[in-house]
Amino acid sequence: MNVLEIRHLSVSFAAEGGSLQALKDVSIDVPEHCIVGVVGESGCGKSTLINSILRLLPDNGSIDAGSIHFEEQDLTQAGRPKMQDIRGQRISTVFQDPMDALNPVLSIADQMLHIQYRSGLGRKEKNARSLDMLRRVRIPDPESALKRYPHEFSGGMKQRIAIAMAMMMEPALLIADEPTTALDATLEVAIIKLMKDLQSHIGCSMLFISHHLGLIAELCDQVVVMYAGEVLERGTARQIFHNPWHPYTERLLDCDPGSQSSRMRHLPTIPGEIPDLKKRQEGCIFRSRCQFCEDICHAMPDEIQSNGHHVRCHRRSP
Amino acid sequence: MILSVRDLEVTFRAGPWFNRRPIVAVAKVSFDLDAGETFAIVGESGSGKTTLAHAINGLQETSNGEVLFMDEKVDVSRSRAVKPLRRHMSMMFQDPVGSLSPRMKVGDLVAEPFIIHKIRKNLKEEVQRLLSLVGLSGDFADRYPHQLSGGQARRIGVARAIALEPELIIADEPTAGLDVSVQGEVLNLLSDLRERLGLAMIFISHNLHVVHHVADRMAVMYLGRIVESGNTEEIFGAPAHPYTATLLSAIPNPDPDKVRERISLSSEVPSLLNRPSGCEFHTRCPWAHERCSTESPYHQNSGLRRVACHAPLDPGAQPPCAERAG
Repeated sequence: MNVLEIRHLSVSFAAEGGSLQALKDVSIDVPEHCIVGVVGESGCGKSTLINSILRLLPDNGSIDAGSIHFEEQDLTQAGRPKMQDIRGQRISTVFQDPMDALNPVLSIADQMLHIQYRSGLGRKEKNARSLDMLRRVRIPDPESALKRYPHEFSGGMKQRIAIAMAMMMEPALLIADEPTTALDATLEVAIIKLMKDLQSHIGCSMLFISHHLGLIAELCDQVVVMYAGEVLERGTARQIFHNPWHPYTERLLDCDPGSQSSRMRHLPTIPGEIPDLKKRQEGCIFRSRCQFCEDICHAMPDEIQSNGHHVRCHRRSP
Repeated sequence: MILSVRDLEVTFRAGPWFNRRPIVAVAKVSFDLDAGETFAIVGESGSGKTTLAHAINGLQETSNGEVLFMDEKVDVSRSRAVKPLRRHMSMMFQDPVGSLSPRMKVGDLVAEPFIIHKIRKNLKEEVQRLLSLVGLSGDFADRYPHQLSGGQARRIGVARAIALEPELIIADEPTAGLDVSVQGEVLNLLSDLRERLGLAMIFISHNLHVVHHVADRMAVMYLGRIVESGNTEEIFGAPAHPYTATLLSAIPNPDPDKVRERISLSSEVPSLLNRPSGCEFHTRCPWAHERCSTESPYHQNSGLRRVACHAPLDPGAQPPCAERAG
């Protein structure tokens, strides 16, 4: 059973000098109780993907084709009131910067009360739930923490509070957008462990977006590799990290200094730049930077699948 | 020896006027740097890395100790004396776009060091030379910073830093916020230039993977103090200070089958206003015993290695309460 099923999603933005296709033919599955990681460099469409799922695209963005199935409904067709029911209740989000996620002029108690307005509980019960949630994310002295304001907490504590708020309504899907980028390595470890514990406790699924390959490898069951608005490869974490099929995935893994065990003066890179999304080239999108590029790559490769490992590359064609 | 830092201390004052309290951001830091050497400073946020960098560059007043650069004292109070030194010691600031003035074109930004130090040259030619040195085409000179990507802005930062062919570059988180492929490009660029120009470099980072590949020697800072320093390879091979061991164990490996033994810390970083007694890491250290909370440890030397710990770890030591992550 998939909690979230994205099929052939295409999103474009009206921009100066023509339309910019930010997502092209994106298909992603998020199975129940599963953590799916999305990796890709900046500009690969990770944020557009989140905004499309939540239907929070800016005015100049539009969903051109495809469907987003979540709990037996197509989110691309859902109206505004429907989406308001879903956001925060069934799908919640943890963002990169915890300071931006919290309201600086409200106390933690007030903010945690506000997000429960649809729960139908009394004030006392709501407060008790807030307290319980803070305890679960291991905030020291949660009673006094409720009375304090966001600026009185460190970055790591703020992110814990943001996670507590996201998990409070026990959503079916949690979207985590680079939740540890602003944090130190030792905190990162603690936050990841916390998210994993809460995820298995509540039994929700998670879409984890990051460019940190080490974190993805450690946390995720399945991995989606995106490049310039397209999904190039997806599969289980083991398939992607141990046996990458797409040349881009291979190069990306090589680039991570963590994958080189011996010390080297020259680190691998991927020469070239992401193509202009306003003038999408025909055929394979990675063609211009690929070391294996051939004539056949000027035609769009089909998606090939075996054992849940999907790839779009002519080198894998039978 | 090109740079020598001796017992350097930086103190800030915090709190309302009737209750000013000193915050020691950098405490008794000493190290030396040879010409052409790369020295990394690692630590969590708030450990005083950036303050230390600013103090070395003469951008931050110090309360104690001294910085000797090319046998001359860096003294903030005598800014006229510091300015000629900065010609030989340049700085790359943390935020690549934020450190470029949004009102200036790239060409003017790259030419700025020559103008500040009143060096007469054909600026147009110099700008073109520097841009090609950092791998950007000449027409970038007419762009504004907001038209640059993070990686390109970082390259402009590098071009500005090497413009005057300095002896030392202080790079504060030069790859923070960059994609892995771009990060590799920037690091390769720095290492090329280092070889070609014989630059010494102070490399501040919290990315230990990067430090491993780049630095000859490294120092680990905690609450403004250096707790361990030595050869990078040796420290990665066998960390002696529990804090170093913790940091190293926190790096996730890009392999789903290699989830490592994690040393988990019990509490958060203590406040600088309220430093713990004895060894300042004892509140979070899984190996701490009674002596650690009362007596501060001295630096123990063995060869190039310096460790401030009462009971340095043996190679491969496991914490008393090891926890398996994942």
